[in-house]
Amino acid sequence: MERLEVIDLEKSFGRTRALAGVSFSVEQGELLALLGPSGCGKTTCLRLIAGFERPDKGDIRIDGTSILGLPPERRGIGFVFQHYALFPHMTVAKNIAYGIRFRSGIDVRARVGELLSLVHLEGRADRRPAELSGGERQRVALARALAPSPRLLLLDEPLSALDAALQEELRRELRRIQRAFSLPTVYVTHDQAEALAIADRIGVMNAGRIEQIGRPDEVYRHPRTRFTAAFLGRGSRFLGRISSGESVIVNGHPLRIAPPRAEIPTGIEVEVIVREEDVRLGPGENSLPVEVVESEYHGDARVIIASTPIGIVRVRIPEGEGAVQPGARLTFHLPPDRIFVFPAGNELS
Amino acid sequence: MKRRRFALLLVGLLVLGAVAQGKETLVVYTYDSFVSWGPAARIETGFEAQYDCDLQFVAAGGAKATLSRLLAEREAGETPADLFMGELNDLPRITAYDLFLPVDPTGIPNLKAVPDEYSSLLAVGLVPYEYGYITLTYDSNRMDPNDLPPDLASLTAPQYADKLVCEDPRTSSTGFSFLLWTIAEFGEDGYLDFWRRLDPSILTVTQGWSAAWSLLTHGEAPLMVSYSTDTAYAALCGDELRYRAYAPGGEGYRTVYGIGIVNGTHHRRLAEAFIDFLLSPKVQGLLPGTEVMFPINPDAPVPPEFAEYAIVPTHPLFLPLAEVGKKAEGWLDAWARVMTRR
Amino acid sequence: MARRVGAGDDATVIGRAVLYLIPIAFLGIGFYYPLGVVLRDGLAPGPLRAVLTDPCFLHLIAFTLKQAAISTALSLALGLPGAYLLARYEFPGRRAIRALTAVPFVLPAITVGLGFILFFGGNGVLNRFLMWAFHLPSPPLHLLYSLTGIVLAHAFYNAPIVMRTVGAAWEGIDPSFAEAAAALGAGRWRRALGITLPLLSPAIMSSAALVFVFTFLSFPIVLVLGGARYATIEVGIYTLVRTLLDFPRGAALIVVETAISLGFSYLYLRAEGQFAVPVQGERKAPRIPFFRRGRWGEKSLLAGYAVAIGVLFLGPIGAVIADSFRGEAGPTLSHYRALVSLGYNPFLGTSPLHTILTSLEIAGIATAIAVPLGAFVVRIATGRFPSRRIAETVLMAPLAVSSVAVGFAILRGFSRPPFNGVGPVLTIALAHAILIYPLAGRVLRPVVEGLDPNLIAAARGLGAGPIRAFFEVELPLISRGVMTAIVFSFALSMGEMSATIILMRPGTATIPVAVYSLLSARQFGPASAMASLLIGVTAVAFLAFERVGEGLGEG
Repeated sequence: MERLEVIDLEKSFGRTRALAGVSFSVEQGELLALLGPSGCGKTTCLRLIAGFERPDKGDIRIDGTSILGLPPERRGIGFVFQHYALFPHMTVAKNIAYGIRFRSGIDVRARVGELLSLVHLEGRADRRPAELSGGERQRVALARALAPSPRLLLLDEPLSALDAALQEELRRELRRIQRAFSLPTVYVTHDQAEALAIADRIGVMNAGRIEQIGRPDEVYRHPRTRFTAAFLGRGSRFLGRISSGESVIVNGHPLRIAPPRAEIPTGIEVEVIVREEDVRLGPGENSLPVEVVESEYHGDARVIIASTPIGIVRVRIPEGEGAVQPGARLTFHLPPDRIFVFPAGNELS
Repeated sequence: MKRRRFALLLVGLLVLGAVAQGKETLVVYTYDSFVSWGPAARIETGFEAQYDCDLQFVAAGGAKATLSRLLAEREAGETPADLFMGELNDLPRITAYDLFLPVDPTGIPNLKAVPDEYSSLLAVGLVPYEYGYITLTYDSNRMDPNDLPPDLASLTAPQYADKLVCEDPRTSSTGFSFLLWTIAEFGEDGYLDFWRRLDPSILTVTQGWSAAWSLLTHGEAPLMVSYSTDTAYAALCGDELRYRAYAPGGEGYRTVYGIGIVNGTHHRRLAEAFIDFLLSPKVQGLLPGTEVMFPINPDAPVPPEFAEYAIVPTHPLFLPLAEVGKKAEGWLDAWARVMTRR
Repeated sequence: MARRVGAGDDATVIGRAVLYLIPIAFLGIGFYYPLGVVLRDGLAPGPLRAVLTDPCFLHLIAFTLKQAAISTALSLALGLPGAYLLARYEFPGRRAIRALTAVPFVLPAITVGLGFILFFGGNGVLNRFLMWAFHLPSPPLHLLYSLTGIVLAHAFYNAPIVMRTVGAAWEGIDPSFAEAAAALGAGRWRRALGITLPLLSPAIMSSAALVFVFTFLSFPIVLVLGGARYATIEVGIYTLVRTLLDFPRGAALIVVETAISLGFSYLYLRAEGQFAVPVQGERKAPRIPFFRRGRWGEKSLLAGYAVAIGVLFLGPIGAVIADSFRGEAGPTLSHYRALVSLGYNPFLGTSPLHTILTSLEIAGIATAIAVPLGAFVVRIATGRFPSRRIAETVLMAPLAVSSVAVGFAILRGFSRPPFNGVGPVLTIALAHAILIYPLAGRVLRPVVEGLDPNLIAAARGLGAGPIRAFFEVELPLISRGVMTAIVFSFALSMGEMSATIILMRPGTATIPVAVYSLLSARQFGPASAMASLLIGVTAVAFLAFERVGEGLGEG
């Protein structure tokens, strides 16, 4: 039972605090995505697990045993780099064979062949990395990391250097392979669409801490911190004040809200976040008369920017629900349980 | 605007040229030690004052090196040299290239001071102005006079292993003279064998005299091929007489330095005046203290230290110049073959 | 904004043609014409055959190759650990030490020779110390006056080149490669040998080739520390040409020597293309502070190495500096006082101050010519047209011709009109520039190659003309390389003696020639003082440039 545990990791570089106490665990076969903006510490966390850096505080355990004292080469970890780090002076086959060449009892050629088939690169064995396309290189990097049968897989933004179409395709490949090997996997990315699509669980990170960990739908639909709510999805943000347990005033306009999980005292300044897909056309709870400012065609959907009593609101509706032109006057309504309310921070992050 | 600037420049250059035209210029090609620690500066001051001209010395290394530069310039076109000062053993090459003009006694009154034995040199245009002897010099702090080799042949004895520094005969006049010494001593059939047996005694063969002197004075080796006037020079400087010259078996090889007028000069009169100046007793008297050589003019005053310490070998050797000229290349080649390490 | 086609473009084409023609014309007049004058004699079949069939000459060639190979191996062995130390560790004084690695390169052979004799000689500091420490009756170390001495001195000169070149490449290697290897299970040695070493191999080969050519053409060191019995081709040329005045055979030897070194240069250039791998990654590895806990085994080895290297370099240099204070009756400053005087010094033919200024002047002019010329060569080399390797070899040819040959060629070429009016300072500066520009090009090349052409295109697209784009975009980006090129060129010119002494005229003295003159005049104290001054001036210059360079290009 391979299980990764990260406990209270802290790491500073000089005066910069990269990780301020991060904990999570990853089960066998599970893919945990660490999602966050650049500088949030997700890559640092990954590198600590791999052993490329040493943490200032905290522990890292695999199957209950601490691996902190081990150098990277003895941790049994597969690592896929953002820029692949394929050894330029070796062929594809030699790259893949690198981790298993000196192990006894392995038929290297057979294993390399196996992995090449796995990533659909048979026939590329004797090419050099410089001759491959980006997508091909990524697949070689993955095959190489998997060759020594690692007990844990770490991926550092592996698809960020590829174009969108390729990203999607490779993402599925990765997932398929990861499931086939049933490895606990930590996948670092700044791309939320990617994280949402691929992960079993997502850890949203910000400024060296984990804001929230949970299943993708959980984290997306029920963000528990201001950062998470703002970072995931697209929407509109406002400042307001709690006027009672069930009401918040935004720009003088009251909105009925579902009771926030943590009680927020009355009168405190809060941030109100509404996702674009949660705003509904037509009358209902928290009805708002709006005037359309901008109307964007997105193929399958339409994004409307509208001026409302509470401020500028962004809405996404399936295309076809009536033509909407700038200047049109409409009515929106906001379901109370889709309005996120959090105590306001010092700045909108 | 540009044209005007150019014209101004041209005029300026012409004016400068005219001004510089005033004095006659005499160019003497010589070896570097004459300029660096020799009497060149004092000669220049005295000569320029007496003849109201601009005297320039040009040195490109030792005598051999300066000669090759001179010949290179000649071959390529023109050389600015009016006079050349060099070592006797280069004379065959000098005559081969027809470098010197014949000597005209009427232009050089002091020529009569040159002893008759050098008349053959005068006949080919080389006027000797100083002479000396190549002998050995030893470090008296590290070597007892009783241990010195009694003659040249004993230098090959095992007790002298790695104790001798000598100079490369291809690049150094000193070294070349030493080679000729061994040929004069052992003959053309025997000198190579001598060198083979001498090899273990040689610590190293330096490019020139100064490197060898450097090794001697830094205690690397106690014995070197040098000039018989070394002790006298130390005495003149007021130094302790640590490095002393000595002539093994009373022998030494004669070395002579002379000066000639370059064929093609435009300043023949002035050149002759310079040679005359060089042979004058006063200037000759400068030579022991600066060149560390014996002046050719017997009337020149010689410092008492010279009289006391400068060694004159009882059996000075030298080979006929004509032979040297014909066979030098072959000898040097043979020497190189024997001595070059494999 | 539509571009105006027509007059503007013609002007650009003509302008560019002129810009290319200037360096070509310069090289033609300054190098190929004089060389042609010399080679005309050497390519006659008679002398050439004589040289190639004579066993004596063949032995010269064999010995030269042998000592060059051993010297290169030793330089690599001594330089690589230093490169590692400078690239991967942080310690106080690291930058200063890196700057000072260029100093040995500058020192004239005569000084190095003196320093080696003072330090490693039979009566030198090291032997005397060992004799005293171990109560030995006679000197235990016989390092000089043999092949050992030659090779040791070559390593002294050239190991720093390896340290700098390989060190710079090492710093630039993306640490991801080593990390990937570690994650795959490779221990430190496997990573070092299987990953880092191959990634470094272009830099190693590059410096090895350079060192090989230098030691192949080496002459004063061979003579000073090996003596005349150790003959290289250069010695053969020197004696044939300068003393035997045997121009035809001398020129023939020059042809053979040049052909061999050009051959090596070409082979090297071809191999470089094959082995070049993109090692400039996205990240640079941060340096490890040396005085922190951990890795004691490696650190003690490195410390031992540093001590040994320190002895090798500081020993001779220190001995020269110490010698400059040696007086009859104990330590004295008199030699230095003499240096600073403006008075005419008969040993130099001018005042010491004037000597120093002349050296600086020549170095300045030579650098001002060599660096742009080197950049021009790099432009050609990195351009896209067939047979550019051959073009590059031709342009880099002066590297393969020895200093003596170049000095001699220029002397002969310039002694007839219309060139014989050029003054000695300018002639010497020209000779230096010719000798130096291939090196400047070598230094600039990796920097220019690493330049992203999109940046320049972006500037041009924003309306900057080619000159503005060059000065405002390109130059700042390659400033680090340009600084290094300037520093090296300056240093080389300051220390050059072989060609200088051939082109000298009295009244003009440079520092290395002054050292030589003073040594010839038995003025060891002043000679050491002059040499120490050279060490001091170049050390300061290097440190200053490193400071400025860091400010400009570090990032």
